[in-house]
Amino acid sequence: MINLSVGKMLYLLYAEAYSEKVKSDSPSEYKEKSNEIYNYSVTKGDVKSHLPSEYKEKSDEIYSDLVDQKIIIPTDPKGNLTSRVGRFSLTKEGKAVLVNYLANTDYQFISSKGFKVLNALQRCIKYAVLATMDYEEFREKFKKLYFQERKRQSLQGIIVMLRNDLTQQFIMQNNISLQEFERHFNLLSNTGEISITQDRENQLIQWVE
Amino acid sequence: MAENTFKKEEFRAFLYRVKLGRDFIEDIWVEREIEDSESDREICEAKSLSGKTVSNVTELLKDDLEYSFKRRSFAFRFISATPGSGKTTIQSYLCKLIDTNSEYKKSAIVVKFRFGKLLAQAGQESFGVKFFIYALAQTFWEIMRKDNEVLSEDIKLIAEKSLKGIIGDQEVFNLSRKTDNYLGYCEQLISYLSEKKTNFQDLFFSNLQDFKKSPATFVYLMDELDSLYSSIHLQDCRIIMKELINSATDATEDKKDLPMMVYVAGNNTFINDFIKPDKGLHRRVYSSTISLVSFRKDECEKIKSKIEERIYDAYNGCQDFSTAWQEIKKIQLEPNKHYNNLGEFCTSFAEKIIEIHENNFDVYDRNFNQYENKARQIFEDNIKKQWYQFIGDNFTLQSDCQEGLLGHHGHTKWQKWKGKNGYSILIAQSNTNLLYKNERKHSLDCYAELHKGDDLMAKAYGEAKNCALIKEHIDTFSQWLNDFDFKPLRNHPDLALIFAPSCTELQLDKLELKYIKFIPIKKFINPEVINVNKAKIDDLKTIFKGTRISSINTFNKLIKGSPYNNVEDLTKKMKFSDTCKIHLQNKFAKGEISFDKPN
Repeated sequence: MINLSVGKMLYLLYAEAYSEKVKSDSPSEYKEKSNEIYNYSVTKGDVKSHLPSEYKEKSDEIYSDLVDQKIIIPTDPKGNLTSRVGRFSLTKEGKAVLVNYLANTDYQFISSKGFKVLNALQRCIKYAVLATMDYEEFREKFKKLYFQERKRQSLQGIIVMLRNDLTQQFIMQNNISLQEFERHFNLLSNTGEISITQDRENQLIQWVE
Repeated sequence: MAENTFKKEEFRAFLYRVKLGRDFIEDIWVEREIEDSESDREICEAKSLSGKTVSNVTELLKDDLEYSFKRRSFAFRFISATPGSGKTTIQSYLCKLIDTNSEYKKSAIVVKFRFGKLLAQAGQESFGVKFFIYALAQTFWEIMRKDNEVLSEDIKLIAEKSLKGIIGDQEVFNLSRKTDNYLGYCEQLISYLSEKKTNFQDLFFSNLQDFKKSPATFVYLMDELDSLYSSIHLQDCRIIMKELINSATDATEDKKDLPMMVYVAGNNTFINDFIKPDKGLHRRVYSSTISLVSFRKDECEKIKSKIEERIYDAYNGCQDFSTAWQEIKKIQLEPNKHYNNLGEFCTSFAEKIIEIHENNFDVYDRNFNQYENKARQIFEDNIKKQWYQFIGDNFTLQSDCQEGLLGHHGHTKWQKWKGKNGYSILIAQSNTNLLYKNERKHSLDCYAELHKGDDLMAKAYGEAKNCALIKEHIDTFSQWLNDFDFKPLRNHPDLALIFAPSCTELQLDKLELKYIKFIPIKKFINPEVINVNKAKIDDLKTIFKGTRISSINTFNKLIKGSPYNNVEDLTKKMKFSDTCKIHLQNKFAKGEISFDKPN
């Protein structure tokens, strides 16, 4: 899984908490209307102002890291993708990453927070509880990811399906904890759906056909 | 009984090869599907160099061969896969395809080595220098070695001239006395080459240029690139690969490719790390890589059935066959538990089969005797046809066992057929223990002699194998022929025939090269097994033939009382005698009856 620093987690949490509905029509919560339009967005400055002081100066660095990882994405006030820096939205992966991180952190707040943060946490809990993945869904999604990745690599000439890379990608793209991922993944391998080979440093996966 | 000892030995050797699970095992080679990249299946991927659509490994390699041998172009390929997926096999298979093509083999100079070897090369030179010196030495050895009899003489002459230009006349003369000694030759040549102060890459390619007007095609098969994993030569090796590609293609004077094939095999993770950091190299090779999957279930199934089928055919007349066969059928191998690639599959499966093979099949084999007899008839017809020009087609059976022939080659069952012009054929009617080198004997299934008057003019040898041929069958027979001083090309030609239900195309070519004629004979299958629990009156009559039990009433009672668990159960319920019990037990042991529960 992604090792977000505490700073990144807080950055995402405050981004979620202080995001505001874009000035367009769609009311649906947590669901982008399409890949290009996001329903909620927040400014960099807003997030920075809520960060604990030790993270404030790293705020720009955290921002660009998260953009690189496609966890957040710059948007305009109407929720369209933009190249301008200043306002951004959490992507679908971003929300999954935030939820996943909250589920695995031992971080404790040391000051009281406002209702927006509490609401954000409540939404995350709801999201986490409603969105557990059953094995069949996992299998379908993992298989899809596997063959997408395989196809991408085969265009480059050499196919190397690394377990770690696929795990990371899967967790990034889906709302699933590492534990749940491992549980499903082990079932895949125990039932002979995939075969795993240990290389010098990596484990390589092959879909059994 | 001793009857099966030899057969088991050949099978043992075969199974042991399978167990090693390495390299090309022709007997169990299965075709592998290939798709162009972007496949949605877990399947081997590669594109043909010519642009032609190919759908399997054979088509791909044949296309590559045509590309280099006929179109005189340069073929470069990386073969990448996890260990045990068949990379080395692809290289060896390519060699086989060359060996069995009468045109290619005359012009092919095949150099095969593992990268690990370069790490053991003496000298202070850089990796690049060592590489090209090694490749040069291997190339000349391949051309000049004494036992390379198939390569055309013209090519050998060009090589000699070229080599004289490089190291001098006297040195070439010195080398010519070492063409039967690999290490001696290479050592000497490398030491001559090492004295030179030159650019060895240029030397390597200018040497190849010398062959350009001849049909010579150079094939370099380099394996285990990943041996360089932790070596300091990684970057050097990248440059060599890039230079190989450059020099063999656009850099040549006449703007024509060198007719050359370079296949480099290695682990996929390593090859990825090897190619990716070098954009230039990546651009040159990404579209010509072969990516192998470690296995497909259908490939494993095919290997399995190739082995099973041979066991079945070879041993199904043995007394203990049915129990052994049940054990074989019980073998269950699961991916990711018992194996993760083709190599491991072969190892795991062969281990189980070896155990069963060792513990069974020692007893008398009824079917094989029938098979042998059938082979002898065909052998007789066949040699009469092949020696037709001497003996004609009007035979008279002179004697079944002529007095003078008593004891000929130690046994008495002979037939003598008289043809025209004083020619006659003597045909052995059973196994012949034939003496060779005046001291030892091989036991031949079929044997005949062509005589003119009292003079022995030619001999005919035959072996019968009642399962699809394995390498050991061919190797043993050709070794025997060697021992017997087999002369297939003289005026009165010796003949050699091998009988089996089937053989592969490559085996056929191999046999042809050795002047052994392959004759297919269908295998003998046991009469159908009768399930006692489903038997009708007629079936029961067959089962109990030879016992006192024959009354319809008894049979009806037996049918009414079914199902039975086994012989014990049946004889107890029916109150049959011990004699009858033994009769049934024998039938069960031979696999003639079963007690399967009706569904």
